Amino acid sequence: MTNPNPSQLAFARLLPRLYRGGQAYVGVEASLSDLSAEKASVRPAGLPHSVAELLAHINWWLAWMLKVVETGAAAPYPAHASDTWPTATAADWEHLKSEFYRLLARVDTHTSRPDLQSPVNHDETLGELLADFALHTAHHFGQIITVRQLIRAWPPASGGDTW
Amino acid sequence: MVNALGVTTLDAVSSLFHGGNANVSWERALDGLSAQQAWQVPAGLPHSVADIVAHVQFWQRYLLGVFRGEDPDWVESAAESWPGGAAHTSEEQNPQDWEALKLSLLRDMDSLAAYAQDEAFMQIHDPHGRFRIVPLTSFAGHGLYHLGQVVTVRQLIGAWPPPGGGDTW
Repeated sequence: MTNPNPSQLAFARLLPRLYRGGQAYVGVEASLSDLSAEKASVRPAGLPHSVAELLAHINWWLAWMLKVVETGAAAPYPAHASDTWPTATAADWEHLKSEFYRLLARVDTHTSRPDLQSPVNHDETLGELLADFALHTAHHFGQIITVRQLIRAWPPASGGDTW
Repeated sequence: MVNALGVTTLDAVSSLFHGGNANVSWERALDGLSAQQAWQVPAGLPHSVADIVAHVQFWQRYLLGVFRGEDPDWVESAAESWPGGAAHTSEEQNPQDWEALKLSLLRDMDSLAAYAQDEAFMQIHDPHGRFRIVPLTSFAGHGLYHLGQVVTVRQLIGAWPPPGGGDTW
């Protein structure tokens, strides 16, 4: 196995932070905080998803990625994008948040692996897959903020990302 | 074949600037949007697509300035990194401005993606003593965070999906 070089190690140290925001964008904990289950399940007029549905989608892909990473076996992509958007109601909100943080904890166990350059899935490396899904998560957290702005549930009591 | 620095990692970071493998690309997300639509601020939101693009481009230009040794000033307040907004009243919205903004975003994105693939450059620390891969990946993440918001704003103003389709199948 090739030893990781310092630049790769810096990348590995960055990965957990990419999943959590807090520097380049609002942190995930602030983004999900101070939001009731009722508000989390509101789908604003003109938009296809509520905050809860966005988080359910993020969780779906993180679980898919972790299955690939943890088994080392390539996984088929879902037949339809709609398969990756589970139903999410107010009753699911607390579970969805807990599940998200559990998934992040599992991701953490892989970001410092010495084999980030190893091939995984179809034509990717482990590091590439982890980075892609960090930024897929960021992409939808950006939308979570927009939905919260629209339903007048932003910023949380702890503040947003302005200074 | 992966060399000592990990070219596949550099390719991956480079690809993230354009959207990465898990998101719609920036180019497609901005396609087919008129200047009028681009400057439209949806009710209940603080920013138009053009405002968001100008903000992402502000930080891309900043990072390029750092990489080119120009020592750009850090902003005193977050508002300074949002150069669009109030500066564009309806009288000032013209198609050339939007096209120029879009082109500058995509051009500087290409430049940052090229830096990410420059193995020699990536081995040099930045002025803060960090490996270049750290700010490059962070700034790509910042861009994709706001790319998600571009999609949302386009959905709200009835301008989504773009002509080539969104990221659905």
